[in-house]
Amino acid sequence: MDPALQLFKWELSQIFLDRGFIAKIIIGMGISLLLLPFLLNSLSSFATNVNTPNLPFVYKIITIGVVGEYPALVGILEGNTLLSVIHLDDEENARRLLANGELNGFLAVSGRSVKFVGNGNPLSSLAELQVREALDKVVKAGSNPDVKVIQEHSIEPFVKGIISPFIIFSPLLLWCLPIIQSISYDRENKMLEALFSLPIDRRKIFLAKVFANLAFAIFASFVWMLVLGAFGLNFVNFLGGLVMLSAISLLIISLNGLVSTISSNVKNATLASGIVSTIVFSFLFIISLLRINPYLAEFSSVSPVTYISYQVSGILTPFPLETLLLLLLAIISANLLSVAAFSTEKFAFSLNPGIAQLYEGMQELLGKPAYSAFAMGFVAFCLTLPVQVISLGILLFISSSYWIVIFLLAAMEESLKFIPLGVMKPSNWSEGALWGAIIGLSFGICESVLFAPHLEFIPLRAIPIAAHSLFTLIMGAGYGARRPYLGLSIAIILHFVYNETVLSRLI
Amino acid sequence: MIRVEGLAKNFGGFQAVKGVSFTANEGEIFGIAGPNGAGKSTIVKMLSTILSPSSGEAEINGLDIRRDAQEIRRIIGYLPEEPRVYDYLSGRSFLRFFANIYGIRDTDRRIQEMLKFVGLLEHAGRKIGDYSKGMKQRISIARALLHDPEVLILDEPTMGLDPASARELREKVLGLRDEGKTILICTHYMDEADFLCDKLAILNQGKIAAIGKPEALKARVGKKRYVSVVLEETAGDRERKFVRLLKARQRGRAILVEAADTGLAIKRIHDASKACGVRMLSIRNVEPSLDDAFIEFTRGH
Repeated sequence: MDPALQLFKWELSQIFLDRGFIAKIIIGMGISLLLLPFLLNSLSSFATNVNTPNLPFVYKIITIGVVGEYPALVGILEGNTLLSVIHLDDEENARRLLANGELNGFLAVSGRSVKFVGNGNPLSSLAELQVREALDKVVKAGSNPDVKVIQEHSIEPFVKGIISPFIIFSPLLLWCLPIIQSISYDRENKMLEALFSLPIDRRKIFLAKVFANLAFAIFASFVWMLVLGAFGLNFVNFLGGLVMLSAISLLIISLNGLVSTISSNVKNATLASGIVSTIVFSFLFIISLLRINPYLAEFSSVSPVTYISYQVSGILTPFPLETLLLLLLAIISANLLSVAAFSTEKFAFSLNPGIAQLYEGMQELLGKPAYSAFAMGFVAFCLTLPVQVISLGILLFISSSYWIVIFLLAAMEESLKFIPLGVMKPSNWSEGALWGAIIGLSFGICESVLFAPHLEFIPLRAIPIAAHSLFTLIMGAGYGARRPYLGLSIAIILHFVYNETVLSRLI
Repeated sequence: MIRVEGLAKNFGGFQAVKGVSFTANEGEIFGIAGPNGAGKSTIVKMLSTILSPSSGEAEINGLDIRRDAQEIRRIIGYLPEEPRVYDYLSGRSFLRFFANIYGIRDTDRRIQEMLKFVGLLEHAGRKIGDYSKGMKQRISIARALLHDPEVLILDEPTMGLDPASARELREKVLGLRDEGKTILICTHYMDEADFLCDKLAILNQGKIAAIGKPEALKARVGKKRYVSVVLEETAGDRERKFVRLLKARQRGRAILVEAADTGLAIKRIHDASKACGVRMLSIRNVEPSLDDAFIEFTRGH
């Protein structure tokens, strides 16, 4: 058998043999399961005791159809600021519009009975709440005490979909930890030196460790899904759920692998992994929650959490291939960076590795500084997302001044593009300008790919890409000419002016 | 056979190894000695393909260390400077892990053989974390020999071992040489180099200061003979005066007096002892040792 396969087998067996670690996962699953009955109970009471959410910033965001005549009820609904009411002739037509997404639900009135039909999505559930409140008012007025509501969908699945990912993902973080032990422990104990003298390519050593953890994660995901099912939290598409959970696990494993590669010991790597995992999950959860906003709902499908949410709330959705591809892109990038650092010869011996080592490895792997600059632009972009989400969150909490926000956006993006220049250390202005332009180019492309909802949108992003390239070119030239902070300041000011003049008009 | 030609290694601006050349023949123990930081471990790591050389060439049994790194790792057994072990594994599991990676057939028999060879058969089931430093070194040696390598590269193999274990290990290394293995050994114990090595390179500041058979190296400094004197312990200031007067060197309790002519030197020593008022406990002739060669060739470090 190939030595790398042997290493994979051995690493996998070590995870299974670590009784302390397996116990931690079981405890983690147990704690999550203890929360499950509370979740399910609270859902059933939530479904019968809800009030209209206080949403002052939205107006007429829900469209409902009414089939049949019920003036007292329709009058109340038409007075609701959230609702647009359309009158329709027959139920067939209403169902077609609901399926197209043109309606969020409809009321079918037949004699003394009223039926609300929704499609189970968040807006539909919100529509249902409005209808129920209106019916309560009708009933209290005593005009028609025999009215009944037949629900085809309720808000329960939606709330279930929002809360249950927290339960599902808690143990996942645990089963992505062995990679840290496997890399950082070996480095701390200088075992890597012995491993590097074995007839296995260094890159394969790293990948054997990653794949061993992944194999364990797939197994743990499978078991966890069965356990959740036994406790009443079922996935509509078991295989789809397993693929998505495994992909999320692999993303976290890859990121843990990356932080272990550039951390000096197990303790630091675990701490860094905790921070990185929290940021990544917060980010994925926030994107997933965008589905409650009708204008951004489409964007929420980018997050794998959205798919998991729909799965456990009983809504059958097609498997989101684009989401899986995005995850794979992030996974491949993180692993390429780790392999790059792992293949540097200092890796086994350096006790204080870091970003510089990552860059050194990238240069060894890619050969030319221009390629490395392109890769470093991607690194800077990856750093931007969590930093912006967190700092904007804090800032909006303190002040929501338009000027401060757009200045901060410019300052943050330029400062993060400054890091690769600091690592690459251009020796003269022309080198700095070239590398800076490439860093900006790669940064701009990454940003455009993520923020363009459709591929045909990308050509329109040529201006922001060119702008990023130009700002970083100036910053790089300044760095090369030994005026790094002057270059940075000019880049921030230009970016700020650009945000104010060009970007605000484009939006 | 190990053939090294102009091998050099830079770490940033620092040149750790500056164009080293030597050849270690099959069935020969080749030693590299030198003070700390002389570049011994760097050479060993380059030959083990863990570090890549900045310039120069090296071959092990006809395989190039740059081009054929993977093949070289199959035919060498490398023992790092300090034991590299998994503390949480038992000695036997540790060897099994490496045996699987090397694809060794009849794993159990080979592991048993190796445990017996390093004298750890009775402790094979214990966790390595509970081993003494010497036992850890022995399990590392078993690991390095597990796949029956053609070439052994040992970096300070007896460091930290008690004298009895160190002697035992040296005997085993000689046994492996007799089996026809080529052995490269790094050491800063000169008695060890003298005992083991068929050929020795003395390294100083990244360059080979001297190379040859231990006897030849000793002979090169052989013209300088010494007389060793030990004074009574209470001599104090008078001892310092005695050393100054004879332009001697002090090594521990012994005072080494350079002696081109032994008779003349002994007379000078007697005169000096009278002049300084010190009493001698012992006086004897010292033959040149490899230690002297080492000090001579690495002087100025």
